[in-house]
Amino acid sequence: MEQKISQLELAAKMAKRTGITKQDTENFVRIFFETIREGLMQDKLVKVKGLGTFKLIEVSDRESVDVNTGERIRIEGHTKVTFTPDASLRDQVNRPFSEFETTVLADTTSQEEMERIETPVQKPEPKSEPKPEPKTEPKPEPKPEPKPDPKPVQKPAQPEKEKKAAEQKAPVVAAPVQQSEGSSWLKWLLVIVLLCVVGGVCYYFGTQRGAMEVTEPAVDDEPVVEEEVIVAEPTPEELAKNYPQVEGGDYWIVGEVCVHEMQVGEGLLKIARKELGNSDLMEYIVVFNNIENPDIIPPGAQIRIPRMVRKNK
Amino acid sequence: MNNKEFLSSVMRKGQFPSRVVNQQVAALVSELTAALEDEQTVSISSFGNFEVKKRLERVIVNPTTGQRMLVPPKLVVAFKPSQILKSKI
Repeated sequence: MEQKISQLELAAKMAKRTGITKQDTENFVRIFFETIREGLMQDKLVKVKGLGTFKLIEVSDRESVDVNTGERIRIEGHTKVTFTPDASLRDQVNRPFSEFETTVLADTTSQEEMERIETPVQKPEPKSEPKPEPKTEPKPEPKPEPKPDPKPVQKPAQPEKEKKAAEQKAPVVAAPVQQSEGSSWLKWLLVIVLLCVVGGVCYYFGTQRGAMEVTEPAVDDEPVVEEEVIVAEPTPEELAKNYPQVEGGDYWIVGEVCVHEMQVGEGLLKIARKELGNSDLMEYIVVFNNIENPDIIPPGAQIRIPRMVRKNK
Repeated sequence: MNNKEFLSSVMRKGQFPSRVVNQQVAALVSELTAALEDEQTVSISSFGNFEVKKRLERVIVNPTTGQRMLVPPKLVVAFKPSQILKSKI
């Protein structure tokens, strides 16, 4: 369909449509475009409804290189005519493709590229944070185990079991002391070893607690929410009572997705955009984390990302 | 120069009654649009050519968010001023 229509053909079509004589129409078309030219020279801008805007744009001098000779040449400044089609004309012409819209590429397709473009550190972190940490915690446990032989079983335990272990050890320690009067060095040795073990265990759990305090929210909260969902399937509103809420917001905060560690140069807006998909939802992070001043957040701060459910209205 | 001023200066220049001008402009615009819709080039002597160009789809990256977006292919109207128009301006 690639063909040219001349001014005369255009005029002929118009004449058919309006019923005005061909000659008059041709005359009109000539005057129409001549007026545009005059208007351009006068105002540097002509708007024609249904067609578009013609504009004169000044181009200043610039230097360039002659492609053939490699010499530097100077392109003189000039004015050029630009044409921006009216919305109606633009849409009409683009009708075959009108059903297409600009789409955000899905994460699955973009990830490989994203990792190449962005710093590779940032992207994996928020996702891997909640999961690997509980897994890595059990790992350090086996290390101290091989040394003290007697009680390897009780150690991979939570604070509760730790108490039990301490209780169990206490009588053991006490017993040898009573019997020790006439006993051999072996028993003393055993006591000392036990004391060392107890001390080691205490020290170990002390350090572990420190570590757990940091990650506790990620470890503890998630299972709680899941259990509740399985048991009673509470409505988002009921779940929402456990968390601070944004007044008048469109979403309930019903839990926690993960913990995000602030990087240098990151702001809450950026995190909201990245984790929640919309920087307008920053308010939810502020409320969820009880942040007083959203503008000042130190790098390395742990920001909890809320799980959100849209309110039904 | 907006549409109103433009139409009145067309009227003055061609000594047309305003009814005729309105009718003719409407016809011109719709015929031009129809021609462009068929991907035909409309050439107006001593003014320039209106033609339709295809733009391929492309991926853009929002520099602030790093979000990648796919811009669909589209057809756009391009205007290429003639040498006569260029030299007059």
